[in-house]
Amino acid sequence: MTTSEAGTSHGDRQDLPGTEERVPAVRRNRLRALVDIPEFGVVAACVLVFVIVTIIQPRFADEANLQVIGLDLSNYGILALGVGIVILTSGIDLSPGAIVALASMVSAYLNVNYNVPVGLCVVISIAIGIVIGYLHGWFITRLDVPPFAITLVTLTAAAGAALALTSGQPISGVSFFYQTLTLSKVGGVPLPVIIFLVVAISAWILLERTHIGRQIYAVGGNREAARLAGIPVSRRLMLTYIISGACAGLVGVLVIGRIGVGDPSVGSGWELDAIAGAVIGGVSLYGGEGRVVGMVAGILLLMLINNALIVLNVSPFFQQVALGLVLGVAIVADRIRARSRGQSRPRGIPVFGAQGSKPAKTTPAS
Amino acid sequence: MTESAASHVSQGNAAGVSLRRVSKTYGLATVLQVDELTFRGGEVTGLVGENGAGKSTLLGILAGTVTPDPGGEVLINGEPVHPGSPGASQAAGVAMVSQEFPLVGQLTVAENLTLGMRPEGARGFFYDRKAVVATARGMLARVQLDIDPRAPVSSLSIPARQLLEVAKALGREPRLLILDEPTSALGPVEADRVIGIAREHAANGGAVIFVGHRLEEVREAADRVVVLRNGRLVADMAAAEATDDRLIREMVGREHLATVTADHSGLARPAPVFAADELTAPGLGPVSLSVSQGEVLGVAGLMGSGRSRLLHTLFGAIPRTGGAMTLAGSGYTPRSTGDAVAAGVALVPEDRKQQSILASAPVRWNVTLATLRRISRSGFLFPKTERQLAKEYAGRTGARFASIEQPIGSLSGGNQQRVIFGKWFAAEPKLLLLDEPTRGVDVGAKAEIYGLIDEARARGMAVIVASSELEELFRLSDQIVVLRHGRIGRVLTKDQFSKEQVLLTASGVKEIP
Repeated sequence: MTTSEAGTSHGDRQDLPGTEERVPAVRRNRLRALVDIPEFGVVAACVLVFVIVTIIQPRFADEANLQVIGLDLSNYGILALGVGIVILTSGIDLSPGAIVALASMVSAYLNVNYNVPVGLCVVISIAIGIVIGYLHGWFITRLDVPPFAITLVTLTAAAGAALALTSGQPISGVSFFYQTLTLSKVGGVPLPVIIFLVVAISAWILLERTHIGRQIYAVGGNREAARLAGIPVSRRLMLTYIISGACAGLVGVLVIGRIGVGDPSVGSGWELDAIAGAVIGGVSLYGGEGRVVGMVAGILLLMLINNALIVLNVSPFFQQVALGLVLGVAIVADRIRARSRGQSRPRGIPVFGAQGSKPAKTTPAS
Repeated sequence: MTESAASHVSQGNAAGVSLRRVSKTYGLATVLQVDELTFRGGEVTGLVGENGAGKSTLLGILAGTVTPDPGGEVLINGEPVHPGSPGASQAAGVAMVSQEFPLVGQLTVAENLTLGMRPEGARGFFYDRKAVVATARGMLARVQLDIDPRAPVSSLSIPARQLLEVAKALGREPRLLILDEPTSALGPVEADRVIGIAREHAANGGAVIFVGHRLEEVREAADRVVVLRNGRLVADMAAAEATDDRLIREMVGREHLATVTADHSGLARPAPVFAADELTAPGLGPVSLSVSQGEVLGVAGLMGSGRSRLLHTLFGAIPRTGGAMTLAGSGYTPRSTGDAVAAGVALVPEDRKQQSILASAPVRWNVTLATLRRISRSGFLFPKTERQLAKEYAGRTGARFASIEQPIGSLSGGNQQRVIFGKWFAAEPKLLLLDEPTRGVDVGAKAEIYGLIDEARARGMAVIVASSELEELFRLSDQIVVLRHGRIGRVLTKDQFSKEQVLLTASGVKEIP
């Protein structure tokens, strides 16, 4: 049972407070345990934002608006899960937004000009993401290119390629099936939201219930320790970039149905929201820490706030400011919580280039 | 032994650096206790002692990185220095060249040399590149290092970096120049140069401390040699009197005199479980060795002799360049650490924090890290199975923790190490490689880790243990190989174990017949 009750058994019974006073103590312990869950803050913030905004503007909770939030959530959420898994390895992926643009343009282009069926377009779109992710992983593990740099290359090049395909013109006349994919509902829930949930559950299973997922955490938490435990570090890194690319390819298909055309400028900047969502959800940029629950809650919070600001008629300029502040608060809160638990992350960016130089500590003589 | 610490006459206010009643205690262990020790200006003082004798602590106190116990004094030219402050020590004229190279890899040679100082002739507020390069050239010339001051430090070889460190220290015109094993990374030519620099600095009136493992070098560099043992100053003699035999006897203590007896290498041993034949890797070998089931092979050698390198090569963490290995009767050619683990080889690395643990992850994760594939069924982990295994294997090593969900980083060093042993016991290896298995654990935990190693042996694992603590090797090993410059200098059987034998081979003095 709880510690407070265990303490009473050999305590002086006369001095004990009455039962009605002991219950709150137990409850406080439960509350503490709840607060100690890393994702508690962000989940609570989601609930809080939802309730408060609904009170101010009931339209926020209308079915139509919830569906808008759901569609946004599915796009950004799938990206956030992919990027989040990359960040777990202490890497970063800046390319998802650009992959969304490229994949959706190629997909629409093939569909309109060569009558490639939508089903095949979906496969091709995801394949584009996988290939790009594989290339990222290859450069990062074989040539030791920093993830930031190589995915920045893709961010620029893929976004450019999307524009170059049609000289910047949108592709209209895409098959109706795109719309069906995005706008149909299952039991009132938009299909993309269900796809998002499937992706989230798969990510959860991967990270929490497979040996590969655990190895991904290990690679992010302490790469050298992972290597010396026999974990194939390069293969695991590679996999995370492939997953992130595939997620972006999938979103590339979903956005076509939403806007009705292949738009080369779609996805621009989405990677930053995805990264922000993962970080708000408690994924540590140092790697090795963070869970799917947090990633989902983090991106949901962003979407709720984003939508709330629109519903509340806040100027679009202030929307950006508000989102920035949320990210700031989340990061600071995470550091404060880590510090209060007595953990610090002293691991900085490795500065010294030499691999052979081991930090020979001078341990006191014993 | 004609002179001792107590009889050493202090120079009072004379130029130099003095320690008075300086001690350092960690918990219950006193690692250093020196009543009176002066490093005189115009003199090179050699400082020798075994690992753990207190050299690093002594140097740390001088450099201000270690705070001594209250009551002691460090005097520089008669003036007391604020203890435990690197800034105060530097300002008072102490410059230390350490075994690590705290250089900024991306910056150029010139930038590193002038880091934190204002180059001569620099004008105004702005960074004066020309003045920086010119100053750097002057500093490099003093150590006769012929490199481009504009080259990035990361492009330099290890010996060049070591010399660069010396140049950096010299450029601060120190009153006391501390050279902490300055030659361990150097070839003979560069080593001679460093010795020359030390002598020159003393000739100009500076005080120099020269710490070395290679006794010949210490003798050559120093005017006088002081010996530390168990944190105490046990001898202080002129360099001319410091013969190898005498130094080693002082370092080791008189009770460990040579007990060389007949060679028992002809004795029957069980067939080896693991054998390496002419194994080579960068900086290693050729090395040939073998271990049998239930046998412990010790690996001794000085810092930089290739102990860790050997173990990492056996584990597939450093690619081997030649030679062959066999494990349990079949060929063993690890191309990755994963191959090694799959073949039944385990490594407990030297640096627990950097190389072993996932500090913020729970104990459970750390126990199952190396066996994840085995405990999962078609790729899936089952929490219940994992918890059971984690509890079982962590428990078997006697590790103490509140819950297996507790972050391993919150445990003591000894308990962390036990968890790491549990991780590898779970993998049931045939060959267990241990690199400094008791580094950074307290005395009690040490004994328990020895117990674990005995258990590993009892379970039929072959064990190779590398350690810088000779007592540890003597306690654990059936045989000891002594490494020197990446090669096996000598193989000692149990009846030949003595510190003198090991040190003489390791420091390359001569073979004792």
